[in-house]
Amino acid sequence: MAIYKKNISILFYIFVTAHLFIWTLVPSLTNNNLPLDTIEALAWGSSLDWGFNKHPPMSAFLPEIFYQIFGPQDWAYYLLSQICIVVSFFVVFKLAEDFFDNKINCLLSVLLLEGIYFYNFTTPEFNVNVCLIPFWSLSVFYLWRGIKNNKILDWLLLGIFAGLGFLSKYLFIYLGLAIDVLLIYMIYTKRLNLKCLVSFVPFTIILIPHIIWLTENDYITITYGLLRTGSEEASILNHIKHPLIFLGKQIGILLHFY
Amino acid sequence: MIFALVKKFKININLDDDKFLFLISINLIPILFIFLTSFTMGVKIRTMWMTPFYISFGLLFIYILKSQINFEKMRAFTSVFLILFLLSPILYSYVSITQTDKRTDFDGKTLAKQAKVFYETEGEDLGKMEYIQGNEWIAGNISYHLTERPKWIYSSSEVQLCNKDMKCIKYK
Repeated sequence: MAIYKKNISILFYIFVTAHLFIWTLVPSLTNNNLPLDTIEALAWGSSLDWGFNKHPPMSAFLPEIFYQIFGPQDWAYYLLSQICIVVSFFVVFKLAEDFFDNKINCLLSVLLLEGIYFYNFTTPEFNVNVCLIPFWSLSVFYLWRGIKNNKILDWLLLGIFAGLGFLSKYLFIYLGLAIDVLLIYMIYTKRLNLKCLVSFVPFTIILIPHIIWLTENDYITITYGLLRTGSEEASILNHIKHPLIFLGKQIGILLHFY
Repeated sequence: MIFALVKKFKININLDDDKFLFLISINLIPILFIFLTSFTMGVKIRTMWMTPFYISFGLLFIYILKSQINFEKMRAFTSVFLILFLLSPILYSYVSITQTDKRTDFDGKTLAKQAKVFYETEGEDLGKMEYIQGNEWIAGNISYHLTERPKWIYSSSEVQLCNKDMKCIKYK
């Protein structure tokens, strides 16, 4: 059994290494220039701040660390993207170990993600969305650990990764709301005590510098986010049209997954 | 991929199961909320925004369908997986090589070299280039490709190359 489990783990590591290697190499060889979003993140990184005109700062911090190490070498930023993806795959694999006795199910939980183009085709372009994935998956991981073990450390780590997720992109709020709904339900049904509220401490501390920056800069990122939704084109038809387009796209995205 | 793995698509729902409740909450509630945002505010949800939402979907579906997974069909699943795993980078390479008017075909390196020559000739009294003003793409490319890496400052109009005292010359 131990040998079998070890073999599955080896298969997983072969898969993530191959994924990392292929998706770093292919764009490095076939692209002449880094994509728009990556150049944008590097531009923000050249003058680091607690926020930028479009997004909070995390997607600038990470490429700036890579720039300080590797300089203007395109492959490094393709590698950075793949590190974000592979870390997320690893976190999902580890989370799955708590859900299945049969380790092959853990591997399948990750392999299925190759059917969703967000985790392969679009990953070479490092941007806020790619930057958000590892913090999203780590928040989910430590939420589960918190529910399972109810240890202070797990709740604190949930708060830290949720804070970093929020600093990657405000869209993290949707996972944040889901976490809140689940925690409120679990506290209400007495499956959890109030210890989980400790996660708000690191979450708030991490967000404070960005909130200060936001107030000093007329909430520019929020205005930008609202503009990107097309909310200025008010029409009653949009309340039907946009949700339907949204649903249609989700079916398309998940086609290979099914 | 799921259909290549299971005998039949039958979902067992048990709301007393903490694991199931957890997986449903973290996978479906965010999507439900974003759908409600679009519905109530009448706003567009851009496709790429959904990137992180599906990261635990594999886990959710394997958990729901675990009793129906047919390990004898593993060969079919492996084939589908390998096709997708190899097809995506091949397709990416094909698009990248055959289409020549994408952002990734831009010659940022040459642009940066030209900007440097321009700055050294037109602004020889200004000293080292420390800042660059302009949009994220043009000024961002120049900043990234130059070894001195001037700090980028946003400007929607023209590209300006500046020294440490913010004395600038208009480049584009």
